Amino acid sequence: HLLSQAYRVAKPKEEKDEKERKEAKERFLVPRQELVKQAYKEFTDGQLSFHMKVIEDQDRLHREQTQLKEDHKFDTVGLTLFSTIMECVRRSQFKVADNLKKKFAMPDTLFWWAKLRALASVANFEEIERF
Amino acid sequence: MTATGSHLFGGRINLMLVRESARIELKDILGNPSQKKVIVWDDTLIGSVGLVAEVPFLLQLGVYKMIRLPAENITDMDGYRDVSEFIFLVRPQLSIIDDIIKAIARPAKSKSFVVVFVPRKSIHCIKKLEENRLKDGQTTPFSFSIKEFRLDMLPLDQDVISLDINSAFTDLYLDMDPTPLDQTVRSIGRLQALFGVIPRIYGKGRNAEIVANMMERTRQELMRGGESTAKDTIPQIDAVILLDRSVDLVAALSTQLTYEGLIDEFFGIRYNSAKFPRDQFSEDVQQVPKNAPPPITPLSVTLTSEENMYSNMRDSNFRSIGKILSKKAREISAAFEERHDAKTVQQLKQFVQKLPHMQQDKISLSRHTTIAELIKQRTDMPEFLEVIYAEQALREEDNSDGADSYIEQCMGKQEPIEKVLRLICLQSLANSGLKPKLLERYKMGIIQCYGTQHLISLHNLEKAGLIKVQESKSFAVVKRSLRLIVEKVDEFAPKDSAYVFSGYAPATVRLVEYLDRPNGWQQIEDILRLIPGPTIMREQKVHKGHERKKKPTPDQPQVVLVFFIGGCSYAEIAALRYLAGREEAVTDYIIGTTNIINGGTLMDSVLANTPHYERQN
Repeated sequence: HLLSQAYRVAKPKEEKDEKERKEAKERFLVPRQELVKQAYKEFTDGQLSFHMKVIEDQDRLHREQTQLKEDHKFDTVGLTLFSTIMECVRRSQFKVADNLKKKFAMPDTLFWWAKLRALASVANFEEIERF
Repeated sequence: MTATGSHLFGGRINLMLVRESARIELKDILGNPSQKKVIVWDDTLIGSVGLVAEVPFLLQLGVYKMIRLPAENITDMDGYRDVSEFIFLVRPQLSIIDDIIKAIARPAKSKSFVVVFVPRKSIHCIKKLEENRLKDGQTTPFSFSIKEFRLDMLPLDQDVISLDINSAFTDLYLDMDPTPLDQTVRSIGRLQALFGVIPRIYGKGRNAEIVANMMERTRQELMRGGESTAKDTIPQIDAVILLDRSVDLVAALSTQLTYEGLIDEFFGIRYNSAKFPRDQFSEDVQQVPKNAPPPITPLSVTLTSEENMYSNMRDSNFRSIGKILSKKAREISAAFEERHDAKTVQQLKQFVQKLPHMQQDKISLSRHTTIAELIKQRTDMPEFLEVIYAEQALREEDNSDGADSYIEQCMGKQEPIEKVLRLICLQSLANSGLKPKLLERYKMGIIQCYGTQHLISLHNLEKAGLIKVQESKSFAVVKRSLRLIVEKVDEFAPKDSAYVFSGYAPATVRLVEYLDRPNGWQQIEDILRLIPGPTIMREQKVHKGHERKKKPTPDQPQVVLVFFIGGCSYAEIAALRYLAGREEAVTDYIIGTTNIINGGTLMDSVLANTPHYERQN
């Protein structure tokens, strides 16, 4: 019961975090960080290890996406890991995609599906051949 | 919606009485029919109230016009100046109160306003009205009163009653809100007032026990008060079986394969009707006058036992529908051919008398052929077949590792999240939980493919017990001892209730079936212990001389009320009807349920898209 209480306190904030991320990106970067920290703390208090990991990953992914935007000039902020990888493959940034896969320990099957679908969507048949 | 409600008549228990009592109550609330009144609707109530009180009936009660909320300053509207009464039919929700206040922002003097809460008043709502200077019973400067219309249960068909609580599952398993239980007790109480005390109570599951206890307490209170409304009625219902939805969630999540079940899965049946794309239907079905442009709105089709053809085919497995339809087509054309044989005037007269009926059948046939085609388009798709095979494998095999790759493939293809989660839940339920590693992998996959917001979905699923870490193998044992898996089902002439899922018999229905055997549930006590939640077997004292004397026989069957707490699906209803329809059957079933569900609606209610935090307000 205590767990669920901790969760209840933490959850709406996390939702807000999602919304704000979509709405305002960098302008709200600071409050966003605070919210993530807060959510992380709540989950730690509630000993929800899976939730903690998800928040951690989400935070890391956000950083990667912001970095991508600066380095390669395409915006993936707010997308899921799956869609981010697809976007990288579409733009032939295969190394970046491989890196993301490794960093977030994405299962092979899911990664191949993302890659395959992305390649097919831009009709990059040479790359598909190379599989 | 039917004008007569004749589809409620003809079952073993006359559910018309339920409808009648609701109509009498509404009549009382609306008062003098010679006074002109306007009904202001809460949109969500039109369907449910419409099932017991159709428009012609309302007109008889003096209803002059109907409008929907939100509406502003209704007394100023043209045409309403000579109306003396405004009746608001609303659900007890705070957001609706704002609409009411807006609607009577400038109330004209000498008008009266009545707010009718369905099915129950709420203190919150009344308080909010009072804060806005709308007090129950006030007469100046205008009269205002608050009433309640206790529409606890809706008779959907001659053997089905629904409490119409769409949030029942999330209420009970996520929010721990006991409102559906309270309403269940009240409606069973109402049935007892109409049809006599129910002598035997059976039940399985935690919520079933709570309901049974509450029933006992209300009955004791009634007895102590010296008032027993059901005293003089000979019991017409012999037993009630309370089934907690958690008894069999596998059946709740599996894709239904009956005709009615598939209509519900693909098109959604609400208040006995479903909407279909209009342009697919022939003109005589659409019933639009010729030369008039067809309306753009979808075609709404009423689906009740009043339509002879539908009641014959609704519970059949979809695979046999083609055969049933072609048989019907032959029958109808043969009937039309009879006109050539009519020689004498007498014979001709007989034929003409049958004509309207035959025309009706012809329209029915055309309508259901179209609906069946629409369904077939979907069931023929490889995606649908893959899901059905996957579900079958999950239910049948004890170690369904093959499913893992299929489920991951669905994620990779970015199929709708409902579909993926439904399969994951099914796998978890059918294996009494998932191995910790696999569960983690699925959860991470969902987050990576569908986004962090589904952390909430996963949390909800775990809370509701739909996914968990494997602890025992109890489902495998229950599956074998209750014979839930039946191989080689004959979909055309079923010999087991497992036909509704082409090879899986819902455990809920099996439990009901076992009660009919000698020794009933005592015989399977060991198995019952493996299903979570307490087992209930109790008796209620019946007025002397009203006990059942003879054993039920196929000619004089007993009547059993099967009540699903947390919802049931059309496939389960079909399976129970199948049980009652067998030749050797000694029991007829009335089905009560908090609401009608299918795997899709169940998943929707638990997903993060409709966070239950919002629904609470």
